[in-house]
Amino acid sequence: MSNSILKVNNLRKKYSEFTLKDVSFELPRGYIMGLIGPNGAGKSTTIKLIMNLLKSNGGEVEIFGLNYKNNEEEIKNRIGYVGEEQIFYEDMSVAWTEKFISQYYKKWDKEYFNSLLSKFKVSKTKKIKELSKGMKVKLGIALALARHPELLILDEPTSGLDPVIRKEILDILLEVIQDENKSVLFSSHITEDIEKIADYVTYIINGKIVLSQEKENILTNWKKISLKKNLVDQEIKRLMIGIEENYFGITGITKNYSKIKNIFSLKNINDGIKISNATLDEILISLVREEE
Amino acid sequence: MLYIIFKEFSQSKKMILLSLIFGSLFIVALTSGTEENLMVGRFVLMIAFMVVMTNEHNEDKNKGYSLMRTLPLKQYKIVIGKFTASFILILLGGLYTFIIIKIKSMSTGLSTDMVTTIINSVSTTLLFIGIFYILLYKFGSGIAINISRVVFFIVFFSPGLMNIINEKFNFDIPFMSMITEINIFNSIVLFVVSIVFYQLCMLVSMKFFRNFQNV
Repeated sequence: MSNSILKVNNLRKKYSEFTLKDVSFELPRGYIMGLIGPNGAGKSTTIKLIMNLLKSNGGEVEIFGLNYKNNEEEIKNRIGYVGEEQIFYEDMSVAWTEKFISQYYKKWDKEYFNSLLSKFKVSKTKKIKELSKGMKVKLGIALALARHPELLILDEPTSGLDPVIRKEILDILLEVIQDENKSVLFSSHITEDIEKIADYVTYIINGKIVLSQEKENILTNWKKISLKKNLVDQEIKRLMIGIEENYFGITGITKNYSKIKNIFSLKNINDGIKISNATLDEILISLVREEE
Repeated sequence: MLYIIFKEFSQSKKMILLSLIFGSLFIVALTSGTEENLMVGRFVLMIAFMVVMTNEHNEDKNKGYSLMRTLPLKQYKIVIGKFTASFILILLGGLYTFIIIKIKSMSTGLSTDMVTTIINSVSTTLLFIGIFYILLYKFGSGIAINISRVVFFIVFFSPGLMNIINEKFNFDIPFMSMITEINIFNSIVLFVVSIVFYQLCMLVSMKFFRNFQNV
C-alpha cells in the first residue's frame, strides 16, 4: 500500500494476562479501515498505542510519515480521536469543554462545531453529566471533526448505542470520507457497522492480526460451505475453518474455495453442497473458533 | 501549557471563592485579639490544600489526565501546567493573607513577624504541594490524597503542638529554636530553598508522569 496515512509495524504490548503480538497493518489515505475483533482481542490496546496513550513494549507507529518521538503535537493536531469511553469533565458544560479543547487545535472550526451540535441536537449550555451516552458520543465526534482531522480514529463509537444513533454516526463517517484526503480507523465488534462503511478490514483475535485485506476481497474470497455427511473428507476439512458439525453434515468457511471446487469436480460431486458468500460476522466467528 | 493553568483556575472557581470567604473570616478571627497570632499564615496552606486536592480528585473521577493525553500537548507540559497553576495559587494565597492583615491592622501597622510568617507559610506550602505531586504521579490520587490529608493536619497544627509539648513537658524539640526564631533573612532563605525544591519536585514528577497512566 503506497501513500499510507498510518503504518503500524510489529507493535507489542505485554500485560500480565494479555499480550498484543507484533501487530502490523497500513491504512491508505482516503479510506476507512474497520478493526474487527471480539471483546478483549486487543482493539482498544492497539488504538491506544496508535494514539500514544500507552507505552508499547516494541514496534513502531508512523502517522503522516512522522513518529511520536519528535512530533507528538504535530501528529495529534491532525488526528481526531473518539475513545471507547467518552472522557470529559462531567461538571463542566459543553461550551466550556469546547473552549478548553479548541485552544489546542490550529484548524479549529467553531462554526462547523456549532452546526454539528445543532445537527446532533446537543445543547451547548448543558453540563456533560446531563448528556446521555449517545449524546456524549455525538459530542465526542463533533469535537473530533471540528478540528478537521486528516485521520479519524474511533474506538468502538457505536457500541452500546441504539440503531438510530448508530446509523446517524455511520452516515457522518461516510460524509467525512467524501474528502479523499481523510482516512478513518474504526474499531468495533459490531461487524454490521464495519460491513456498511469500511474499505479495508483487519481482524484482530487474541492480540494477533489474523487477517487484513480489502473488504471486497474478503467478501469475494471467503465462502460459507455446507456439506452433507457422506461428502465430508479430511482433505476438504483441512481447507475449511470454524467447522461446525451437526446431524446433517458440516458447515464451515474457507478462503480456498477454488481448491474445494476442484476436489468436487474431480470427485464428480454436484449434490449435497450449499455455497454462499461468508459475512464478516461469520468469518469472525470462524476465525475465533480456529484460534481457540 | 497556559491553557492547563486557565483550566485549573476555571474548574476551581467556586472552591477558590469559598476558600477566600472562609479565609477572610479565619484571618480576621485570628487577628482580632491584642496579640498577633502567627497561625494566620496557615491560610495559604489551607487554600492550596483545598483547591489542589479538589482538582486532583476531579481529575481522577473524570479521568482528566487521559483526556489531556489525547490533546496535541507534550506530556511534560501537563506537569508544568499543574505546578505553575499551584505556584500561582500559593502566591495569591500569600498575597491575599497579606492584604487582609494589612487592611485589618491599618491603625497599628503591620509587624515584620507577620510578614515573615506569611513568607514561611508560602514556603511550607510549596514544599507540601511539591511532594504531593510526586506522590500523585508515583502512586495515584487515592494514596497521594490520603497521605496529604494526614500531613496537612500535622503541618497545620504543628506550631501549636510543638509549643504544648515544649511548655507542658519541658522537652526540647531538636531545631525548635531555629523554627520558631522568626527573622526576615531566614524566611527569604527558606523561600528560595522551597522554590528550588518545588522545581526539583516538578522534574521528578515529570519522570513519574511518563508511567502514570489512568487510561
